[in-house]
Amino acid sequence: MSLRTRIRPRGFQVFIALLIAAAVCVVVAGCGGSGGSSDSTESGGETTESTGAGSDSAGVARAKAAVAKYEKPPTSIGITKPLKTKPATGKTIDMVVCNLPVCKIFITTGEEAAEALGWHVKAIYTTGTPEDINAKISQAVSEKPDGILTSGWNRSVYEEALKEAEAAEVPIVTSGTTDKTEPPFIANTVGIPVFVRNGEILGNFIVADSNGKANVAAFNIAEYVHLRALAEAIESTIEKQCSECGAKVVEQQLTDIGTDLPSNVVSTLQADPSINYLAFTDGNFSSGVVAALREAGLSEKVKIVLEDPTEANFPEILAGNEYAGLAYSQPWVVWTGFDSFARYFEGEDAQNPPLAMPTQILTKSNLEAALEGATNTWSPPNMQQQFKELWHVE
Amino acid sequence: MNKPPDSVPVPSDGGELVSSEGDGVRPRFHLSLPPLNNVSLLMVWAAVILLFGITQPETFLTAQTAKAVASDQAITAIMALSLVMPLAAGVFDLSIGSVMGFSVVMVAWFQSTAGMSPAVAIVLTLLCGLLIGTVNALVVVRLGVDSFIATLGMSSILLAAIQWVSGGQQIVTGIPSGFTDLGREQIFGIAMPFWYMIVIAIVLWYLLGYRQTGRYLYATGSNPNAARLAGVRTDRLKAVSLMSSASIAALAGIIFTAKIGSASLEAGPPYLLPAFAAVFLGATQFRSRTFNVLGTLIAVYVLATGVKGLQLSGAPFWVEDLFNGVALIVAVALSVRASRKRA
Repeated sequence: MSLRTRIRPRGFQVFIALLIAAAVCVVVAGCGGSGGSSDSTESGGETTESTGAGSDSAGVARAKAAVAKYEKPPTSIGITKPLKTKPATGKTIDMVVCNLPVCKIFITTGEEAAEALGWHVKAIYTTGTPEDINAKISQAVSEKPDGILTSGWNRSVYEEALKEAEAAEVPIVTSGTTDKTEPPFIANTVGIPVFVRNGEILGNFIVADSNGKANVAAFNIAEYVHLRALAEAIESTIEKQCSECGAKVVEQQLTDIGTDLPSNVVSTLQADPSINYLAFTDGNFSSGVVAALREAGLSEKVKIVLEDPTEANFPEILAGNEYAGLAYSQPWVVWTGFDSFARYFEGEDAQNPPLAMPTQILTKSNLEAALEGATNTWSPPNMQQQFKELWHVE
Repeated sequence: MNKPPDSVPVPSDGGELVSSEGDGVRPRFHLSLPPLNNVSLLMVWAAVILLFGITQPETFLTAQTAKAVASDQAITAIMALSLVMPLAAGVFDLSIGSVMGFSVVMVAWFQSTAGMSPAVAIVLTLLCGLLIGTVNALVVVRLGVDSFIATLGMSSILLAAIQWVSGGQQIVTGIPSGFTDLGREQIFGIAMPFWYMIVIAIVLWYLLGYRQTGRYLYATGSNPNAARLAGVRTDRLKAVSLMSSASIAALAGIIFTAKIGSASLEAGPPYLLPAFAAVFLGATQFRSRTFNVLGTLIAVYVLATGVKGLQLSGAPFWVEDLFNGVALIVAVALSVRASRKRA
């Protein structure tokens, strides 16, 4: 019996199936990617290779100067104009937030801000899918609150619910999106300029820390458009400050967090062993990465830096497993949101200055002092007091 | 009821459904080489290794890559193994993803919020999995609901339960190091989840291949009427298979949490498709047209090796889903086509 007849269709079909699958993937991957880098910017995904030799001393000096002020705690909350009068009490704000730990912080700090103003807060959690965001915003609108506070989703995700809010004249304060301040939005407290600035800070920090010898893989979750701006700012800053450095953006998907992302990070490092920095555009994205690097024996070969370190990241930073985090104060976002509502209700301009958000580079050496006893979030020093003074409430 | 014979009759379609070593005689414990056509996945695996070994020699052909693949796919392999028994019995369990997700949250909650020790948390979580499987079994066997629908419904219920228990919040702190050590310690440089998977695989392989329960399961899956007429307790076997799949999925969730050190609310469902892809792909191997342990494991690692090679080649993040989906559809479609031609 010949070999051909012994290989029955059943076995041969598996062979064909996997070859087809592999061929499809190779073709599609080849069409979708370029030069070995994964999905990056529409402009072409600039990927520069680090030669690992020499340093751009002028760029390093510029980078060090640029990050110097962020290595110390900020002194101002970035908003300095007081309200003309003390705001009216008795308002109700619905907060539509995500189901990550960071959003629990949103609610608890929202309740603190509301208490200072004599207002009430209702929390509505969403899974983050477009359908659920629409449903929850719509639910909030139907409750006819004085305002809705939300964060992180571009209006295109929940346009239907926004129409309902506009029709019902319910003002919305958002943050962390690319949205312009158009009805029903009365303010976007953290717009794209902040994320670009934060990306520049991280990029400069990496250049300064590496003394101009960095090769960075910046991991972002594709669903978060505003964080893509941050990732691109990291990439462009590094390329601008350091001609010998390399940087690329590696896109992942939301369901990869804690599941495939850690192994994808390892694969990225294996594919390019010259990478010596990993940047995550949000602290939540690094879930499981430290463990994966440890398993792969790569812990000592890279430094992890991230934006918006969370309570899960703080122990890792203190232990030296994660190198640095750029603080993104969720409490500041919330208090600024309430500040916007207070100004709106009193007939004043609700939109805060675009780069008002204070920040600080948190490392093992300064983290405990920076947290001031808190375990789950960072706030600018004396933040609540400064807001209360602006609101004429004590 | 007559006591069922020690060997169950082979169905008339001629499929190789039982290890027929002679009526009434328990098969001897021995290994025999399967026909060449039933080991095509091994050939494919070799071809994939060869392909990426040539294109990515410095990064692909390393011990680090092998260990990473072995370790990274352990959870997927465990989830795929959880499906072997129910599929062998002819029932679907679409709830395993949510069972895993639920157990991730529960084992973390028991420790971080309820303050229980790791041992107690693990036992309680496994019991939760067993309970879920029992409910699935009752709905399918007693109420007569199709397993596809019943377990799909259970999956949705568990997604709600995950949100309810966790309060919509991931659990990132309060998990003791004694628990995470269970998922992070290494033997021969490979993390513990891989070794747990090996143990589970050995137990299932022995049960399905060398015990009467295994023969009866396959008989139930291939021809439930004939099996029932032969005295096999098909309902009981279906129930046991659903309870086992949920328990193993719960175990996968426990191992996942120990490895990661936190409880994500989206942990389980992403493993559903890869698990089914592996089991169906593995069903074409070794034991022809039956769901089997060895074929499943080989399928998991063949797919994983292919994906790893593509990742090292710079493929984007969605290549894994694409690869699994295409491989599953094409393999099963060709299998169905071949079956129709033979019929």
